Amino acid sequence: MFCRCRPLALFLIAAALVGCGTQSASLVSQPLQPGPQEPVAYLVGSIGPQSLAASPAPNQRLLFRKRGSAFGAAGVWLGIARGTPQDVQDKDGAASVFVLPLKPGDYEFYDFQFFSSSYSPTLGTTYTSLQAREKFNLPLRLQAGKAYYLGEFRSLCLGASLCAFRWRDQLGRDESIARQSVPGLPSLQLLPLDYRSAAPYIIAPLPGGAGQNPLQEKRP
Amino acid sequence: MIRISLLTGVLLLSGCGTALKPLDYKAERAYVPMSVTMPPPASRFDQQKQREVIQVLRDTGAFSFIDGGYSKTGYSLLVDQRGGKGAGVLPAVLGALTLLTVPIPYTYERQLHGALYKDGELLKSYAYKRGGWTATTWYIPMTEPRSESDMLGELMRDLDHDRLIPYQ
Amino acid sequence: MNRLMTLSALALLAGCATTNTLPERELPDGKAYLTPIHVMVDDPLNAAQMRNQLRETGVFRSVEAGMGKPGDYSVLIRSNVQRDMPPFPLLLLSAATLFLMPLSVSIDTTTEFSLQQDGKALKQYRYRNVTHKYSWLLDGMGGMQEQNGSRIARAFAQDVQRDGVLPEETAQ
Repeated sequence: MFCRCRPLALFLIAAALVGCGTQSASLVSQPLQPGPQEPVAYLVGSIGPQSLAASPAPNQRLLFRKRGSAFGAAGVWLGIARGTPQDVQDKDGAASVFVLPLKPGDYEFYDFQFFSSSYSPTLGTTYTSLQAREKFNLPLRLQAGKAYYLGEFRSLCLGASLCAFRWRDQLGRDESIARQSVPGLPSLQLLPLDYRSAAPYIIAPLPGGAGQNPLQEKRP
Repeated sequence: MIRISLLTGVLLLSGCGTALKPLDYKAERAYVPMSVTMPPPASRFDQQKQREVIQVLRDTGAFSFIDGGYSKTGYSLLVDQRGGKGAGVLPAVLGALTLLTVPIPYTYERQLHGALYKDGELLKSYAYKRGGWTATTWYIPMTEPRSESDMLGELMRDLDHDRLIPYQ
Repeated sequence: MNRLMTLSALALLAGCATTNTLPERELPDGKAYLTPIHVMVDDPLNAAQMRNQLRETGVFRSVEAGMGKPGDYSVLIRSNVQRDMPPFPLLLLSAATLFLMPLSVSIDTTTEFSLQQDGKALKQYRYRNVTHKYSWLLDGMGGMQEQNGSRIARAFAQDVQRDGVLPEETAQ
């Protein structure tokens, strides 16, 4: 009995260790995934916390959806054991680069999510999910055969529930990382979005170049 | 959390109503459509309390249209009932053990913070506090809901007196 | 006997699907966005959900809260929700069977949308949707309220698009 169990046990250990690899930073729901011969539009960006110590949630996402439908896609950063590849690591924080292959059409960047689970002896495991109460709408028109670069979104939080993303243009750095995971990627073009309508969740420098004061007023 | 749920269970079982009493303020005219916001509820108990607050505010007749959330245009009233304290663990447990017949005294405090915004800017803020002694028995009526209703009534009277919100 | 049980199980499960009286609307893809609207909902606790459902339709460029500046289009929404639960003895009976006995639940919503510009009423829309479901242990009532509201929001969006009262968004 013991001898017959040994290969099974080894197989299970190997499977568990393989499962301790990394998850993909790109999530695309099944109806939006292009088939093998179909035209593809790529949406590229990076997401992660500005400072790992001050980040309340190990699961951060930017949510996109096909305009007018319930099907969506997400760029994900996971910081726990089986997390996303930490492509970018600076002194305080980290980020993952996501490449979303989508069917061409109209999409909307509409929400974000901070998700965490914590354990306490009295309450057990509690899951908290923080999303925008009033969603925003940044329309994206994606054409076939092109790759669009959104930007780098680094999250900063004051306390547990007052969070925002700081936007930066890191096209050069993220393009080379994206090409490693998707070799046939067309050259990236920056997709300029007016992030003022997504304030106060996304803080971006004004088009003129002047900086913005982050998190001026408290909003629930 | 534990003491709140224990106290609530005790009070609900005893039949003491925790529902908010109607306000003693009745408006003559209604304000323009505006929004009334409260901090995000932390539990189902908070959700129920917020529903009651909105209902008593509607019943005063002062609001023609109550929206939710902040807006960059128009008037918003923030109503915050956080802060304050209720019975501790000891009075609640002793009260439950004695089946709410022996009066165990405790002090409570209730706070209400109101803030009026116009076009995203703060116009005026209001703060009220009520506190006192009470006991955990079934024959002494609960004073906490009455304190909350009193403070909401005072807030409505102050808003009417300050005339910061136009009428319809 | 096995066939009978399978057939009756299938009949029961199929009968537990949610039904709505308001038909589902197909929103056309690829059209231009309509100008931003400013939406106020006469229900502070569900206002954000209603606005999010209007955003999900993908018809309006943006859905803002509040009244808007002069010249903006605004929508005032008033809603009347009636929930219909079975009588108490049936609730007790279902609880006694650990909710294996399905309960008939319905939400009846009548919603009025008043489209305005500068205080002048442009058009009124009114929709009624009755969402009905047999809810039991493995298929509860969650999502009924959202489905109810979402159908009404999509109906409003399609009608506004068809009527052409709102101009299309001018390119920035």
